[in-house]
Amino acid sequence: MTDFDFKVPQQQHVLAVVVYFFKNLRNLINGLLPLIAFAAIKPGSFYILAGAIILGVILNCVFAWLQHKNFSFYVDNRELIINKGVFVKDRIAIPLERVQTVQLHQNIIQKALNLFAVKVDTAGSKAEELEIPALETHKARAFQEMLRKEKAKIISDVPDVDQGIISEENGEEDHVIDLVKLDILKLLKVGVTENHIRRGLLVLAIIFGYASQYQSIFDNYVEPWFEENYAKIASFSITVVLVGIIVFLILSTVLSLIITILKHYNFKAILKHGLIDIEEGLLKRNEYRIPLNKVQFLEWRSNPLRKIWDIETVRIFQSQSAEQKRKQSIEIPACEKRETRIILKEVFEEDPEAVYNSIETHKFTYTLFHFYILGIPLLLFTSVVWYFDYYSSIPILLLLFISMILVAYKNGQKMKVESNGELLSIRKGWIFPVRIVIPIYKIQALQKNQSIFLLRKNLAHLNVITASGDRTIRFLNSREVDKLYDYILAKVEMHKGPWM
Amino acid sequence: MILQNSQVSYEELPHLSDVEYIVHPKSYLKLRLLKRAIFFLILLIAIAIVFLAGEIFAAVLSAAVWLVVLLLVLITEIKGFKVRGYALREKDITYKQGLIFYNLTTLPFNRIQHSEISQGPLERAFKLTSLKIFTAGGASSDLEIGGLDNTEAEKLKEFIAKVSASND
Repeated sequence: MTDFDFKVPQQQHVLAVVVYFFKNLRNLINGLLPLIAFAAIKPGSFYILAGAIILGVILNCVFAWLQHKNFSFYVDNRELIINKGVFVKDRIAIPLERVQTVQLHQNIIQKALNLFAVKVDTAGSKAEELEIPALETHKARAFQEMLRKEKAKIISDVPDVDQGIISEENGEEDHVIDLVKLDILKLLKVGVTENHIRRGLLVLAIIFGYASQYQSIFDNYVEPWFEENYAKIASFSITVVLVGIIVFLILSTVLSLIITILKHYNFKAILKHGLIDIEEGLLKRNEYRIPLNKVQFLEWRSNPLRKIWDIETVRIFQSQSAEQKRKQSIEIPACEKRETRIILKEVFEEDPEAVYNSIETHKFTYTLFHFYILGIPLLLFTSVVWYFDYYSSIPILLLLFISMILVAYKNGQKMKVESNGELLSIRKGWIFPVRIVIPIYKIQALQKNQSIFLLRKNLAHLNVITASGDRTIRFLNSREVDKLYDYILAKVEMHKGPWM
Repeated sequence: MILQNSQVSYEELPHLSDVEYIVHPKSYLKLRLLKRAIFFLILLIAIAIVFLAGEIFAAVLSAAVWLVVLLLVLITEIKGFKVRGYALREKDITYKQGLIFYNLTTLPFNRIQHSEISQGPLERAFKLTSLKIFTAGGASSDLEIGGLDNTEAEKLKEFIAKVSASND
């Protein structure tokens, strides 16, 4: 690895200009899209539009070049300094202690140019997301390594020593544990088992979002056409609507499949230097680094299709302050049982011999609760339907209601909380099983909730609060909750040392 | 039983159910009722305006709803006041509240980030103070104990500051 001296102000690769150009272009398009579309439709404005575009491109080139010239970064006196800005010149100084992780990302442009965007995650109240948009591969990696080593030095308070002389590091360098790797077959399985309908609806929402910007165009041009052809449109029958829905479902599934494969292409998760290192993506290459001590809990999710292929999705929940906009959970799209065992052992130090003892949810009350929750709106809906004489739909509604109650019963059967003494594991869900594993010492606070009805039945809800969210287990025996409550408190309070 | 295999036997653990809760001074109930009264008074004025504007039926209907909700709120506040209390142990602080929806929250001291005391104008008149305790768990686990005696709140805040600092 070529040595770079990051103590001296560094510039990005000259092709950063291209990266900036496209970045500016994207921002411009997002802002001016309605204007451009409108101008494109209006007759006679073609030359003005062409002129404006050419001028815009030239200005963009100049601006991008200036952005590159004015961007520099270096490390000085235990601080990372970034200088940037064309009109407003910013000088950002971040103490190295506040640097959490450094992650490399690549979008299509950067990939084509063999450059990486370096994103520096910081701790602290301000959501400072520092980014160096275009460094060559080896320089980016060297920068990442340098920051990691500098941070480690600060933590262990070793006086400034040159890179490479720290020999203790070398042992650690080689210690890499593979967590999860996805080949193309697994990727296809992931793609097929994703929640396509929701994706499809999301895409639709985005389209409508853009479409609403064209409201004026719609009013002037589309609506008159609509009114002319209204008669033809009104004569479309139910079959067309059904065909439309089916086409939508197929399209959203295919689209979702493509998006999933592109997003998770070449997924790799490894454990290295006390970090979970995740890389994925084809057109856009993303890297996520999560320090082990920031992991608050893990969630495993599955669905009937995934159960057939024996894979689960794992979500890693990390701690963050309220103001940070960072992703709260990072996903491992497919994990086998074997890999799950490795993750539990390496991330949570799970004792494979330890036995889990559990408290189960009172399934009858759980079902009764859902009976009321589902029953009341259904009753209202049924009376409305009755009023309008749509009698034929009533048996269907009844069938729907009964099946929902059955699913609620099965869900109540599956819901439980279990512990091996060190880890807390919450299980719920029948068709879509979920398992949440929380190391007990990570728990921040506990809550016990009982409505007046639960009090009489000796049942209670237990709410476990962590630095990455709350998780609740409902309809447990109140006495058992008290015991678990006392145990968790004792364990948390006995825990010496930082919880993060 | 869930704790069969743990290294600590259950009998050795401190039991939260044994603890004695410290109740609020009576003036806190008066403060809470006053706050509710002000809110319902404003609503009543709004209903009166509707009535005077000629919408007799709507005004009477909302007045009836107003009365019912007021009665419910009064009952839950007065009866629920007996449920409210906090418990200070060596290593954690617990607060309980709620008549119809009972809630018990415990914050271990070694997980507390910081604490604050505050006094609104009404509280100052009643010589009461609020104590807010913050954890890393986000807004849902931030504990607010209102209606504490002034000196008690000060002492509590100092105590918490001391124990949570010693845990860093």
